[in-house]
Amino acid sequence: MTIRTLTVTAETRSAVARLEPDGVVHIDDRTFRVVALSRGLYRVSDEQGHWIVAVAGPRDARWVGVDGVVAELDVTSGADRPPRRRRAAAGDLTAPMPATVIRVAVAPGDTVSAGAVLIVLEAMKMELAIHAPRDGVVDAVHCQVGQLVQPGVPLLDLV
Amino acid sequence: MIKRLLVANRGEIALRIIRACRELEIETVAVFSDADRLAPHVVAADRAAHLGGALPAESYLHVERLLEAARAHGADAVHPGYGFLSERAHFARACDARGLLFVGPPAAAIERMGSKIGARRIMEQAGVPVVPGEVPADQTNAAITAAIARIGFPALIKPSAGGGGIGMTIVRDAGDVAEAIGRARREAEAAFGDGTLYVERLVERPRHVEIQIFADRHGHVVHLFERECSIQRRHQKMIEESPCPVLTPAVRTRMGEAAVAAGRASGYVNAGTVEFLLEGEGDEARFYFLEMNTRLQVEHPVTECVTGTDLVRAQLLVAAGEPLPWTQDALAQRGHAIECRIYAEDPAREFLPQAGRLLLYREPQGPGIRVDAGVREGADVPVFYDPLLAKLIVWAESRDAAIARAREALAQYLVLGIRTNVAFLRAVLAHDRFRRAAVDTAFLDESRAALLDAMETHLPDASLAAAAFHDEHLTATASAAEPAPPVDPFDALRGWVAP
Repeated sequence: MTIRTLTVTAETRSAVARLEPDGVVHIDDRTFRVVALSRGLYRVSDEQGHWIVAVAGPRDARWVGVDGVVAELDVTSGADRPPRRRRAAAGDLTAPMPATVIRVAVAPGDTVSAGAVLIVLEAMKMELAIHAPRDGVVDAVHCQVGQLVQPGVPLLDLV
Repeated sequence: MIKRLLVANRGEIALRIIRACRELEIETVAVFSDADRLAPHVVAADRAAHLGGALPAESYLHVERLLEAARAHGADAVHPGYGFLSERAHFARACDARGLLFVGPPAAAIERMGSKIGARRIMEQAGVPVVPGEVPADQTNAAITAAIARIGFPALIKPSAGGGGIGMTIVRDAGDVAEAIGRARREAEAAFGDGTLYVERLVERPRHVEIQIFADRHGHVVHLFERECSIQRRHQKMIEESPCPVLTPAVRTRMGEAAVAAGRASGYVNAGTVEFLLEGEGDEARFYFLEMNTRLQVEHPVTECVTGTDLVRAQLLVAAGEPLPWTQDALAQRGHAIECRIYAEDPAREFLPQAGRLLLYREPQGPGIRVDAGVREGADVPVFYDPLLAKLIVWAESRDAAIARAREALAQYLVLGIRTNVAFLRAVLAHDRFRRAAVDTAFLDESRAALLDAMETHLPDASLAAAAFHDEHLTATASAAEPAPPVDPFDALRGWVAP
């Protein structure tokens, strides 16, 4: 009596969730019963015990908290396990958090070496430099000084 | 008494001040930037004044706009909180000039203690121990050797003209002195063109222990014992506690007396903190004046918990001209308090500050648990300010009980939507060196890798089940004619986010 099949992906693992009526949820071969306690708060139980789990956020940025552990997950339709969730790495040319651009050190056409400072951001009184992950040529700059940039959005293209 | 007070700050400390004012029937004026229009401190105050842009320079650091807000709203006093303008003598002076009562020390005391060299001189004259050091007038090897013998080993020899660690040499015993002087002098001459040397006692593996003092305008100065603040990362404190677990009664008494002497010597009024470096343990432990903070400290609640006082209330009373509400003899420490600072930062990524929306925010509850927070579920944490979200303060009968209480409270502290240091704090509290109180100011940086490894990250399958069920539940509650839980009508008010 599965009404929906979803895949839940964390940084370290991925699992198929099969939902049945009345809050019955199968995670791989385990069966849980889930009851909503209040907004975002669930009691999850099986024969081994029970857990209080907090949940919030849309499917592609779903946060869970349980017993002091917090994680960000992806929830996708179907049983296809996507590659493990990847967090933005140090080499990505994106802002790691909402931040203000305080310096753009390069212009399109510039040749840069690995490690060179490309852009300097400021957030919460801290400066953060975005470095070139490799040697290359700046193809385009997508931000300017003073601009507020959001995480995950490319700041600059390097070819 | 004060009638209407402008709170020149934001976040948890603004709320802390507003609460104290309400209890004293003082009206409050909050101030806010573009990023804080509906922030918790703005909503909590009786009145609110817009300052300007989100950047601190255009808002919380803008003296003229703050003074104008005070005038426009008829405030007769200003509380600066901590950070921002709290230790700027010119702000205190500007308040005086406009006839606004500044809830803090006199501008002159802020100025005197703001200069490191000046403060050191005042402390020496008052008999407060400072790190022993001198520039020997006679710069011959023999005279410098004699100076080192006076201040004791281990010692640090450094260029008088220098900075940045260049030419600094550590000497651990008399046999090494001649060679070390030679080397330091050569490096000093090469780097600064001046071979004059300064010698100082090296304080090894110090703890950071500070004493809370309080003075009124009637000549009373008291101390409210110590706070141990050695758990810090790049000089940013993360966990504070009181009492300091290694302080003996004899050393505690001497430190308290030194701090009171420091307060008297600087002409201090209101709440202040004298920071010391503590070296060694037992009755032989030595302490040295580090600096004086001329404001209310972030970690003031641990003192309030163990002494049963209300420091912000006392600040307001003293500013209004009343005598201190306590005498030294009436003050005592009882039980043990620990404060954990909840920061919006990602320990796994170099403690990078985080910003964004607090999708879910639930504070722990229970006996001996206090949360001073400046945030609200559903609201955004802006990028422009300090990443401190809240402070969890626990109080219990013993240190062990307080550690257990703090760990459990942190496990119940739910913050989703923004990464925090909650799991890292739990790892620190569980670390063997923290439990044994065998820490110094380098502990956190030295043990960082081990603490990151020790952070609990295991996600039980049950959490994946809840994550998958969440949509189903939201869809069901949104479309069903008969709503599923939550049934509490006040829950229906949740989730509304101001534009």
